[in-house]
Amino acid sequence: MKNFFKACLLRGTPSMVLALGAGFVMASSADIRAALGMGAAVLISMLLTSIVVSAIHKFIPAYAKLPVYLLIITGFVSIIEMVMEAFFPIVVDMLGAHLAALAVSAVIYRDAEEIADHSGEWTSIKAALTTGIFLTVIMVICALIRETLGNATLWGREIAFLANYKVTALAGAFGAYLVLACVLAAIKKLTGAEEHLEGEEHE
Amino acid sequence: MLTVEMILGILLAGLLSDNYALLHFLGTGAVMENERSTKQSVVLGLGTTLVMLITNAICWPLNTYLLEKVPYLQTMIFVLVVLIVVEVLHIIAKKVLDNYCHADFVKFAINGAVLGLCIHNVEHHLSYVETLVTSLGVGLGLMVTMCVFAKIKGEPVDEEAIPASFRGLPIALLTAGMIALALLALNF
Repeated sequence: MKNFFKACLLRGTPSMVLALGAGFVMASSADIRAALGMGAAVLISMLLTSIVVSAIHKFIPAYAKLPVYLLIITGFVSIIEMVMEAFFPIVVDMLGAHLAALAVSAVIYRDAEEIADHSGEWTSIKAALTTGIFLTVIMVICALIRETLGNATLWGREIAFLANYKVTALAGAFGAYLVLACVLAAIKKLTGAEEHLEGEEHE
Repeated sequence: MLTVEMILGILLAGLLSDNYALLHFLGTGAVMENERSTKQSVVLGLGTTLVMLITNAICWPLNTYLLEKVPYLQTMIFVLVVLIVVEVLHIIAKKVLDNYCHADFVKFAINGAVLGLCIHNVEHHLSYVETLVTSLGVGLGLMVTMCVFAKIKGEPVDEEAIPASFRGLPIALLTAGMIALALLALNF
């Protein structure tokens, strides 16, 4: 796990990807079911978009890349939304407009435009998997902390011994920022990415 | 019929207690990765507000008269409208403005707040005027948030005072959290 995070961090994933995807990461980190649902949606849409974009990017003129890529992402996000609505309606209710807003997510668009557009299928699939899994892991960690400590529940079920000690601030907007900041700082500390990135800057 | 008090209330909610970027997490990415000066952030924010206004002005009738029968096409049509609006504004900017930034138009299109607002307005069954006022309020709220963050980022910071692992995005998130906490107080 440490090596995986390190690999992500060395590619500059957390600072760039989490800055761009901070919105949906925080929005879905209030409940572990929402985090897993959003994680799956991000991972699948990213993966499918990468495959399609890397396959057809040579036929798309430069001026049409933005609309074409966004419509490809929207198509996949709409399909995922409909499937989730059929099988996991609670998750769709929890995510609200954030699930549809994935269609214009800067993270998925950046992945399509900067990686899938310039490389082959395997490279873009690997990049999409790395980013998607990284974001899912971050969402799940944040959700575990926020749901158990903020709501005293896990997977929607009450944890009796935590009921009297819950920190309600963690369940709200402030909690989302606080937990994500702490998780990101902990990853940086554990992997020593700070020193590496600073070293890179000096070079 | 909307009264002046109601309009002011909706505008203030969009600016403060219902701030999309800080409290709804829509458009947060645009605020967090914004590296521009305060002045450029005002331009970016005004552009986003304009896109929001026009997009919602088109999406409301489309949803009311067309998409009610085909709700599964909602996201696709809304994204298409956003893209068309951004492209038309891009063409106009090319002809009218001497120095415009192409990257700004990409940012308008991939701003989650624009699409999120369209869906929010439709889900809450707002009237046409309410939709437009909400769009204006939310857009201005996003602009103010961008400017606040641009100003904070522009100020000299004693890096040594921040623990090494909290430098960069974590401290920016904590700052946003503090502002969100202050804005939450206005909800009561």
